Amino acid sequence: MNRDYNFAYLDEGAKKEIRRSILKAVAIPGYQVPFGSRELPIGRGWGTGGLQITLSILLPSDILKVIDQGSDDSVNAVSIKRLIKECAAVGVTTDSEAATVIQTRHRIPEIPLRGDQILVLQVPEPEPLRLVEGSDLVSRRMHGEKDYNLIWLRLFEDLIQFNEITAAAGYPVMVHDRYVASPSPIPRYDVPKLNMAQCLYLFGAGREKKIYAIPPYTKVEALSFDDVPFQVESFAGHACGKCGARDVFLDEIYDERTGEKYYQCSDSGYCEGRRRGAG
Amino acid sequence: MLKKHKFDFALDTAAVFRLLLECFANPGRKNNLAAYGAKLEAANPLLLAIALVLLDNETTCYTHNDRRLEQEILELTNCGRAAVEEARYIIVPAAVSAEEKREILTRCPRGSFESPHESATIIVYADQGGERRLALRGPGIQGRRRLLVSDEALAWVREIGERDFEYPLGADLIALSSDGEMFCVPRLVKEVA
Repeated sequence: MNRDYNFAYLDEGAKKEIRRSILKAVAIPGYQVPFGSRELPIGRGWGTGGLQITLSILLPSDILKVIDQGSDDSVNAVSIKRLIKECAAVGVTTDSEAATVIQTRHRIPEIPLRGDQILVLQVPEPEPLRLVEGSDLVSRRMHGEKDYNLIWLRLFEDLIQFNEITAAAGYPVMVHDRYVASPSPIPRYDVPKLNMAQCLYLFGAGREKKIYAIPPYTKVEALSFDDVPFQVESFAGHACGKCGARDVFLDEIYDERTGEKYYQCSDSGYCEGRRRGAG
Repeated sequence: MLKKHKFDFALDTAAVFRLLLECFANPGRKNNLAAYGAKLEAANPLLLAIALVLLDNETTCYTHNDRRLEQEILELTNCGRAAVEEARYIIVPAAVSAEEKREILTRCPRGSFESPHESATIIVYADQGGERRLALRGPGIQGRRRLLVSDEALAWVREIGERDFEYPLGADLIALSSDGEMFCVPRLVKEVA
């Protein structure tokens, strides 16, 4: 561990404030708790909210996994993992079942998480009402009054115009029948995993300075109309080109040379585990 | 260098916070802080351990009828002293009457609809004997969770329940006993039969 830094990089005052915000966020599921987002050695918008949460909750005994779009090997994931390992001396893994804390951007791992695991999601835009209301002051009041007419109207207009609700990532959800929240830009495929999950979900938006949470066994429903049920992406008829997995979230990839289109698991750790098991 | 406290202000606070987080995320689940309390030389080391995790000069606390503990907390955390109406953390280090509980809960901050996080967290040291059954239901609990608690802890849970704050307003409870056991009852979690 690099002793030139405090344990887990942040100073203790910063951690205390973030920890207080996390506890309030857990007590009020789906509500965005403001916090004093700190400067970090990565740019805002590159995962600083998630990183600040991770640094504030880590123990030296933790095993950390960091993923970006499902991949353990992307530049963002590797850089964040290196920074945390350097200043908090935690173990790291690509196996989601071995991890105690997982920081992620845009995906929830394929294997359901357990009650002893915490998933920290990086959130670029935490405010689900931002598309329909530009003012933070007004959107806070709307959340306070549970005034979600505009977001319902937006979904309805989408339906009228395109014959389907087009939101692909960050599909708005209702948490415990009270707060509309953004699940971060995870695909629709991952949204049902938030409902009555065993694990704790923590969401951090560093640029927007907000923290929110979904505790275990909390009701989370995607906003949808009675006659137009919520639907997830379908990969029927496709399988991962590397491990053969079906019924998982797949990335569509083009081969530059041949122009051929093929699929592979978005969750690289899951794919690697399957191939190791088969080998 | 000889130190008064063996408590590590970076690593032990991180460890105590994780226990707290687990208790908040899983209301009614008990965790034990005794090992961390033993590292502090104080009148009430368990309450001090919680204070060291949560309090600093950016927040305020009210300590009910215990000047010595209050002094220790203020010295070690630089936390601001506040009246019960304004304190974000309310520490009750001994058993109090039903009337005192009602008064604290009537006067404590419960947040606003726009900012429900600006509400009190009530930390009680509730070790007054008795093994009373308590069943809880709410977010963080699969079905219901049953646990045994002291008379005083049960009285706090019931008193908060009776206030019936309109969600998202409310107060969150952290209950400690002398053997170091801790459980939490966030505002959405209610007692059930």
